[in-house]
Amino acid sequence: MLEFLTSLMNTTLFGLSVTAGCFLGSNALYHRYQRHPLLHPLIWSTTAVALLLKSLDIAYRDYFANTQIIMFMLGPATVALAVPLYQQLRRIRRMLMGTLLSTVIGASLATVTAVIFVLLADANHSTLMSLLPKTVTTPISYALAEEFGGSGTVAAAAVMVTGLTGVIFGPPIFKWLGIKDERVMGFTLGIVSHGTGTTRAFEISPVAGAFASLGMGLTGAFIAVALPIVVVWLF
Amino acid sequence: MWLKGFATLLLCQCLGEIIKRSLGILIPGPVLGMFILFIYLIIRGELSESLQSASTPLIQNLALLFVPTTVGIFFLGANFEGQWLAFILASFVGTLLALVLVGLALKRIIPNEEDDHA
Repeated sequence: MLEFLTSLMNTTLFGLSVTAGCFLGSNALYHRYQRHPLLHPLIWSTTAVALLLKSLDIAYRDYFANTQIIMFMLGPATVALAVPLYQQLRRIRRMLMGTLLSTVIGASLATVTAVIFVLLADANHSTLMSLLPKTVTTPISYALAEEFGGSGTVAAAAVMVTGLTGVIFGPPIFKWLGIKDERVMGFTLGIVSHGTGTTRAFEISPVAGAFASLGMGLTGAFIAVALPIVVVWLF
Repeated sequence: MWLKGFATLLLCQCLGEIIKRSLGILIPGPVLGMFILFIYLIIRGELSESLQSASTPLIQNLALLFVPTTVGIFFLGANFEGQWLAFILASFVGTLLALVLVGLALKRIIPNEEDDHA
């Protein structure tokens, strides 16, 4: 019996069940407590999976190999991001130039601030490549980090911290800066804190949410093209 | 028929991988696939129901797709020693600074509501 259980733990069935179970549990907790940012499902589902792996003595390498099908879905999910981007762009044709300019300036600022701190902390090349795309939505930053020779895992975690920081500190910072325009708040949250910030922007108002979705989508598109060029040039 | 939409997503990703390979660029295949689908949608001028039903669940459960990778943060071990300061500074302090700078920049770029209506 013990032998059977041990072999079961090293299957795709087990890997998927654990992942889905931990995610659904954390997601329920998140919704139960009014989507508090510190209860974000990604924080607690990953912690729960990690604890489970440690207590059952399962190697992370095995778990990762057994959940490859989830990783595979990231590809089509990234392609699917074109759908919301298309829906957003149709709405704002009128002010396209202003939003494109805002995206280029905003996304560049958000990336440069990260680079400055990575260089100040004297991190290695792999870390720099993993943290460079932290301002874009996870599927894109993950793919970029891996492409640049960084770690997709570090990139995904950095994107999560970036998102939560924006959610928690964005609104008080806007107040401090005297920003009252909902479009500016939404756009800033979308550019800096991608999908997580966009969720928060929808809580401010539908207008802020629409601008956040747009900022997130355009930033993803801009960074995905600009960053590979910059990386080839500079690093 | 969501399968048709899903097949469209896979096809775009394949085309993206082919373009990436033949041009030898650093833009990931799925990201190029996203641009291909985007251009296709603009040319077509409408979003089909199958594409909508294939993409909605993927996007809504995006966080789930990142669980296996993100769990790895607990197992980085010695490889990542000495890198945590950079990680925290860039993702936390860097984000605070970015919120201030981007907020101030956009406040100047985006015209006031009143100007917009004028």
